[in-house]
Amino acid sequence: MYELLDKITKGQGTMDDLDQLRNLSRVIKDTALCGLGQTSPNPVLSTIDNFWDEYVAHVKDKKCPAGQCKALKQYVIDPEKCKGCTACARNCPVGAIKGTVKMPHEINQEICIKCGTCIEKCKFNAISII
Amino acid sequence: MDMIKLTIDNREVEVPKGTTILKAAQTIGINIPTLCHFELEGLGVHNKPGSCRICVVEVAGRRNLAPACITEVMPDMVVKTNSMRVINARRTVLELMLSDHPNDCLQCAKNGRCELQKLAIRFGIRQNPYVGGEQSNYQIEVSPSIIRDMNKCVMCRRCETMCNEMQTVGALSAIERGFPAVVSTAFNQHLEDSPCSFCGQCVAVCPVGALTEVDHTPKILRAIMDEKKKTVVQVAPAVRVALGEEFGMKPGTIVTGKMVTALKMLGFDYVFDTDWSADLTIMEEGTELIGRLTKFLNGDKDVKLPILTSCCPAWVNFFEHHFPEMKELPSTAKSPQQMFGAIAKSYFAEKIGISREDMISVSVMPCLAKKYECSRDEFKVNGNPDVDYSISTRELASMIKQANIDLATLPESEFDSPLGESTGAAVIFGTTGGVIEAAVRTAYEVITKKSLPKIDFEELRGLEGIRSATIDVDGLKLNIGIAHGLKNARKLLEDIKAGKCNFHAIEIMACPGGCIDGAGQPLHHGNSDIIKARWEAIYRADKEMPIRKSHENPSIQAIYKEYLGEPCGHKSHELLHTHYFDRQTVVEVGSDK
Repeated sequence: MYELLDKITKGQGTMDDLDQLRNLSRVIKDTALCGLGQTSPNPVLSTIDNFWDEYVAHVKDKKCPAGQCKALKQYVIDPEKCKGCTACARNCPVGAIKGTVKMPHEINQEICIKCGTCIEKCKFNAISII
Repeated sequence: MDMIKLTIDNREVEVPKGTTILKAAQTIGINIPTLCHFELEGLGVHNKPGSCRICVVEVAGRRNLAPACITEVMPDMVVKTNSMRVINARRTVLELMLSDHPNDCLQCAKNGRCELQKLAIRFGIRQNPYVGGEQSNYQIEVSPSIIRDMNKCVMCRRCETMCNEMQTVGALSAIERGFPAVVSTAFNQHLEDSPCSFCGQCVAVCPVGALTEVDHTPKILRAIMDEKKKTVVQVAPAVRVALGEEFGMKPGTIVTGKMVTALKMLGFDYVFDTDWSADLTIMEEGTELIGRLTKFLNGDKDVKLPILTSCCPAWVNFFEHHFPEMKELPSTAKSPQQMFGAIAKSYFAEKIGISREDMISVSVMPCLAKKYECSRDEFKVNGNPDVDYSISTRELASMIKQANIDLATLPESEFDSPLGESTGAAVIFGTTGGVIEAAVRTAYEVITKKSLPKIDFEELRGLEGIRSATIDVDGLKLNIGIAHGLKNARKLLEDIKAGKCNFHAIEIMACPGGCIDGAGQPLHHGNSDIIKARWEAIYRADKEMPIRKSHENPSIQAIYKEYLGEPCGHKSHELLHTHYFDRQTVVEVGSDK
């Protein structure tokens, strides 16, 4: 179950994985030896029941509507709001942000580790998560 | 008895209170699949952790599925053993198990006899969506008898039940959690450093290839091919009543003659019988018993009584590990396998004019502890072992099959002379109570100098764990104790320690039922009828023998005259007796052992 969920949160899940996850959760609930085991799949089962469209969004659109799955998050700088103060670039722990002073900056998605430091440092609300 | 009515798959069934759903279903021909569940009825073996979840069934009104092997029936229960919910759950459980199991079935020692493989076939598993995730990873461990490949373990914990409950050896136990969870020894010790007795009962019950025996057949085939070497083979009594099962014969078929023909066809130079050395054992052990008894009756307070048998190597390992303070009690006589090896590589090698290094001595045993026994240092002369290789009944069957020999259609032949002649007393070594019965047959006649009125000592026979009987030897009341299964042996030993019993002689066999249910025998998969059939066959084979008392074996009489002198004499002591060691395992905290 962990492996399936992990795959889905990384945007690598398929619709088959979702079916499998649901089946596996039900079987564990039905067959686990102890009470802890029998209740362990409950969070997954209830989220599948109540937030099915979010699961589908992860698989089909590769998006996390709640903005919680790191692998599916993207931090982007709005060039209109960015004043080029360089606060984000100076604080980025992995040096993923490049740009010249007083010009809009840009985040290199391949280097970004999605730590969220840039959002904290930006005074102009120019950075958002999509 | 209270009877309970319930419905299984829309059929009414009535069974006694306390019956499990699994057994209730069996009474109407519904065979619910199982994996971890294991029971040997009548021998007190029952593994029921209810942990594999293959046997789950749907019970009306119950929230989750119920494991049929441990759920007792209730009045008016409505059970479904084949609903979609049940079948889907079983398949998923099986797929999950297979996803953490190696796929090397073709090279697995259990290929074709594996219970997990049978389930995969039964459920028609073609593809497995769970393959490719995390897997457990353990080192394969090889000991002189047993190979442990825990990557194949399915955590049914049958081995643990055998080791801890049936044998009270306590070598194996489950440790760790999640993927690292495994059945292992304390501190992951090597089996040889652990209290393991190498009885091999764990191997006999393992449903998969996690616990298997060390295979010596390739080395033996090479030895047979080597023209410079003479190969001598001995076959234990319990092999002849079980080998046929591997060739589709009914359990309990006696195949002595066919087996001898097959061994000759395989190319062994001399085909001998462990029964011969079993007779020799009786002469030595019986004389030792009479010696100790005479001292006792003459008022010697220090004499070591009761005398314990020492034929069973797993039992020897057990007392060396668990009761080293009592190591003076067992007879010093070697086991028949080692007596045979010692005589073959001395007396017989001299007779045919070859050196012991040019002789390869092979034993076919129902036992895995014998593999360990023949590797012990005290049974070697200048590093050359008395018995080079010990193979199990299963390994012999495999050799016969590899050589395109159809055992069932073979003509019968006789063992070679001189180490092939034996008596009925030797045949019954193969079951619990047999050694002591054979000893009593000889002791009676030697002590009283009279002929036995009745050869069969029915009071010594049976399959109860601990038995006792008093034999009237011309006025002398001989108290005999018998135990099989090391749990029962432990009970007897504790009683002796506490001074609670007054036995003169005790026979102990490590495996439940004695050698007939040894760990090297064809797998019985929990069917105790097979063991009973072998048990009956042993006594049938005894009845068919023309001579039924060890001391009347002409070839035994001849070897004493020609070579050994007298029982328990100087030469016998040199060749046929051994000593025991204190091997209690003490593990120091912090040592890297």
